[in-house]
Amino acid sequence: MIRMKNNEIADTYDFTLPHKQSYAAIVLIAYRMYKVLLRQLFPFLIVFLLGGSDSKKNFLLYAVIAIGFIGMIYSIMAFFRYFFFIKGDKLIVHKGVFKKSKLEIPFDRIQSINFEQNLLHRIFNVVKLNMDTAGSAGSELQLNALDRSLASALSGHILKHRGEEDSVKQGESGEQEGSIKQDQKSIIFSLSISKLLKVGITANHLRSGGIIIFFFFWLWDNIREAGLDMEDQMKDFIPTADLFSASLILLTTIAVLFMVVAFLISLIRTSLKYYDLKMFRKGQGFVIESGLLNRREMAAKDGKIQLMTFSQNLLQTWGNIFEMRLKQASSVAVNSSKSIQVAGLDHNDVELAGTYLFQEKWTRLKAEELIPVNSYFRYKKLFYRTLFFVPIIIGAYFLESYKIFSAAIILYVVFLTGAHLSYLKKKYGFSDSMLKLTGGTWGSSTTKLLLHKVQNISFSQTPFQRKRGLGSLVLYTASGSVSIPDIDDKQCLSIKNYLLYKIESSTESWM
Amino acid sequence: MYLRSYLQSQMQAFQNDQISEQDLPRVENLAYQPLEPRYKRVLILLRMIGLMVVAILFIVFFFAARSEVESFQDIQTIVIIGLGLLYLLLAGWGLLITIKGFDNKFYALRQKDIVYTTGWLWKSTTTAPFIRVQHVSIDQGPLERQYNLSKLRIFTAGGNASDMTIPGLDPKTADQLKEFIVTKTKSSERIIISDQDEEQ
Repeated sequence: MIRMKNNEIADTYDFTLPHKQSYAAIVLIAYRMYKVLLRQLFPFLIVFLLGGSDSKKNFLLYAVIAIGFIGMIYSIMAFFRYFFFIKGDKLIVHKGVFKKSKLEIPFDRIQSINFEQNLLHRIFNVVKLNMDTAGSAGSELQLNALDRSLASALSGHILKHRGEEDSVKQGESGEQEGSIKQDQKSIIFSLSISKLLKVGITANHLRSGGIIIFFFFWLWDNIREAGLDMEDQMKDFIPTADLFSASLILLTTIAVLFMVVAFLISLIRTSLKYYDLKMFRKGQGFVIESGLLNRREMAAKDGKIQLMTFSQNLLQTWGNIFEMRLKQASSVAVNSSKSIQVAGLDHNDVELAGTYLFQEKWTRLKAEELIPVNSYFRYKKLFYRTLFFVPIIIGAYFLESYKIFSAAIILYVVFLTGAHLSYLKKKYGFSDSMLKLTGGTWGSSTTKLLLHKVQNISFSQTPFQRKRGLGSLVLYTASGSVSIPDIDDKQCLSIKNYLLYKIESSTESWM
Repeated sequence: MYLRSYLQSQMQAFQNDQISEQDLPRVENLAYQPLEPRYKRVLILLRMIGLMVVAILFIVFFFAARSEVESFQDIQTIVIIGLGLLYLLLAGWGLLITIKGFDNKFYALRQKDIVYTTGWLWKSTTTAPFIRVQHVSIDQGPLERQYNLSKLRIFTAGGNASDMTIPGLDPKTADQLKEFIVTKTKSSERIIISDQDEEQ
């Protein structure tokens, strides 16, 4: 069925003739270039705008017009010099304004084809085609702007011809990658507006707080480098606040403002990212669509997924929603991992996704009991945290710096509680084919993996662990490692033997 | 129908477990191979070079920072003696760690995987199943070439942190090991492919 459809469309285009991208590509190339330019020259612009005289501002205006004009010409030239065609079983791309270059990509090297649309793409009704190729890192090909029908015809053509030559691969990957809109999909879950709001409110606000601080430092640094001393400028704005109450009010205002901004930023960021999130089951894999301004469509094949993680931060625990991360290996030759993230799942969605991916193995794993790690895990953390905080607390007490003293005590208590909580949550469990590992401090997370996807295993023991008859295991997969810390060393060895037996006797492919 | 197949698979799993508890090949009861004894000399030499570089840097620094004021000079002398003692202590500890470290480096080859264990106080044992090995390489640094030694590196898809490196091998042994592993990975690959063909 699917193949027939691809065929019909493919026939309307003759790919042996050179094709250009859609004319919208000019705008997109220009847009991307201006964005890069703006990012590079942005500190200079600020300096000019803040501290420049009128003549300087005029100069700036001319410079902007000149750069804009040159950029436009460059984009048009880049567009006309860029074309692609198909020769035999290869996709050939010619490009380059000053230096011409030719790219040849054999079909069988192409691992997957994804479509992406950001706001500009949607205005012009074009798509961006990402081709993931096996081989050295960074060998991805992007066709910036293609008409939707041309794009799906091209991807259909490539997948069809690759399929004919390589019958083994067809079963694995042929079906899922076809032109996306035409395949049968069953929906797993979608994010309604109210749920989206919930996701935004429970996002990690600490992270966006960190981003704000980082951004200000970066801005400060750049402006200073560009030759403007902000400290001098600031002196005029901030009143000499030697009155304690005034500085306290100022500090409180800044802190409250900071928190509000951090909250708003993460709320907006997550809402834009996860707007109209949809997760489908298609063939032997998942397809995830999301985004308001930048609409993305990502595919994760079952075979490529190495780790599945569900997590909740503290706020999400109260809201009872989960975040899901699918970590997949990108190709046999490349070790870099690709992670797909979905937010706002409730308990049923988690069950559904897990059942799709692992089938009956999922239910079997659920029945297994979870085993806690040794309490040395907690003791170790308590010990190191005490070693860090107690000298500070004692020092602050004797130096009579009571602000630091009380802050250190509060942090110490928080960190001790954290150590205890993380011990309570660190557990592991095995079924005959899967491993489940839980963790987290204030929130919680659960990672699941198929045993035969483990690449190699490392058992390690510190002198302190040896004294207690403990050890740690690290299991390496093609998209990151998981560790089971501080468990009985005999247990470690029997798990290791069992895992090796499972890997070595398995006939299933890890990818 | 589904329930029955599910139960059957459960039974299968259960039986596997039973076998695994008793008759699983055990990593801990292996006859481990030590590295070439002359690799110990390479390790000690490398450690000595490192220690000498640190010592020279210290001496240069203290001569350069020698104070003109006499009362400071006394304090400086005390500091230098103190740091010198600390250095000797750490150097001795470093040498002990190097020697003991060598005595605790072993590898073992099994039918289906290779095991490398290292560490005197902080021990770690890594096992790479041949079925997951991507490729194998043999390296030789300048000092190793002097002592006629090779380094075997075994790459899996588990990322850089998990790649196994076995140093201090005789070049012949390294070649044999490489050959052995490569044939093993190839034969295991063949099994997988033929299985897939059957399914289709």
